[in-house]
Amino acid sequence: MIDMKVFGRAAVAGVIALTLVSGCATKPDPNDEAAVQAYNEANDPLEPMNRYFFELNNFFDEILLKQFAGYYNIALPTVAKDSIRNALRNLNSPVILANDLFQGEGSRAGDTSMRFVINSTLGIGGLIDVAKMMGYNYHDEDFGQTLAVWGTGEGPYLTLPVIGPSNPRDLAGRGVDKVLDPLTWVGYIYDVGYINTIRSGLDTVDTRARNMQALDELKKGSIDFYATIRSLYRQQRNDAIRNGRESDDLTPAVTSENMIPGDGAVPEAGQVTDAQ
Amino acid sequence: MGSMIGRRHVLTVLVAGFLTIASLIAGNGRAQADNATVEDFITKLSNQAIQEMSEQQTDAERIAKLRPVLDQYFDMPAIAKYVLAGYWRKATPEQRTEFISAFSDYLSVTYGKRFVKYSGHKLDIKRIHDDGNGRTTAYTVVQLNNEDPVRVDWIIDTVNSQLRILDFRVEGLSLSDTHRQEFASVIQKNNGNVQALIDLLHQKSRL
Repeated sequence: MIDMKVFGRAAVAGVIALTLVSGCATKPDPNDEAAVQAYNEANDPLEPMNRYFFELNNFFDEILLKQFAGYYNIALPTVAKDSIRNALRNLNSPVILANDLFQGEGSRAGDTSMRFVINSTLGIGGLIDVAKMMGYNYHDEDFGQTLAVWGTGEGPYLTLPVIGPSNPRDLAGRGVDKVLDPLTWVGYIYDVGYINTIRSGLDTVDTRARNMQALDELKKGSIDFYATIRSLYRQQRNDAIRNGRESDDLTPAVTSENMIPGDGAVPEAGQVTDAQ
Repeated sequence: MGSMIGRRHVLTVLVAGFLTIASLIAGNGRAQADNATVEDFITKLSNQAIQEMSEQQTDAERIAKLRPVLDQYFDMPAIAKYVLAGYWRKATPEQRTEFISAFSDYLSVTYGKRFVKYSGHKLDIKRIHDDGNGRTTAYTVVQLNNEDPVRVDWIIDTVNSQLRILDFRVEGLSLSDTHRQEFASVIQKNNGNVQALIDLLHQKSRL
């Protein structure tokens, strides 16, 4: 708990210091085409502040979350971890269902409803994913995605204390999802708000534990971890918004000339010799 | 006279007909061969890359195996150009060549190390889409060990009538796009200096 206080103070100090002094990224020289393109593609005008929070989150991840997640991984057998995840997913069903409906995804809404009914009963309160065995696969959905489907742009990239990578659209979505969630109201009306704290704590630890190896490798392998996460967050969100559907118009990015100002001779494939 | 013209006409129609049929057969045959070629290409790649890689014992061996796979199956120059974006133009020809090589080394090292856990795999080609201009996207589902299946899309180009991979997306995450964003950020932090990125890539490629 002390750590959270330190975290809170550091976060507040960061907001004040960075918004007052250097919250905004320096704009590139407008004559430098390459720099302007990079700046626009990054869409990260608050980069210095974002990087500050990224480092802060990273620090607390290393000393707290990663440790917890490590114990969680060691202490619990896979069956137990899967049950926890199944239950967490089941609790999230009403929010997923609402967003399925908002997006006009009838068949996915059907899947979510069937999953909720089957897993809450046969699956013993969601601990066992019986619905999956019956062909109703899990999918995620949130109001950030709904807003995107409705045509809202993501806005500038944000890294938030504790929450991590986000953007104004997804941040607004989180707020709406909270309101949509029956458990928020249960916690509020019956004065048992701690159930939601426990739930989101478990969710955070479980997600972190599942991505232990992937995140470690990513961190070790990348030259700019922050920029890598920024890119991956966007791509992952865009894939989620498309519901993972194949999108043919996604393809032509690579080598399409309009993405690259000017041109430079490209050596033919296979003709490049080792320059080292 | 009339019969002559008629006969000639019939002949022309026949010839034209044969030509059409021949071209249709050829056309169809080629289209099928293309899909088959793409399937063959992806299957060969996945077998060589994943199976050979999994047989290796050390990181160094895996990395050494991956590098030729990149050269053989990937259009590294085109990927390098895309990944450098506007900075490709700023780079000198020597820097471009050095970047392609440094980037290939970097990919072999980073991804070579990640192959450790893959002891078995299954690749299903779901669909092959012709994107035009000799470019194709193969939508596949890969299952590694007993984990959940993963969507992998391969973007394939034809370079000198040979197939080469331009990019792949794992669950919608593109290799090229991710490195493009990362490298732009690195170059920006180094005041637009491409050489700084190349040096960092060399550094990261050291075992």
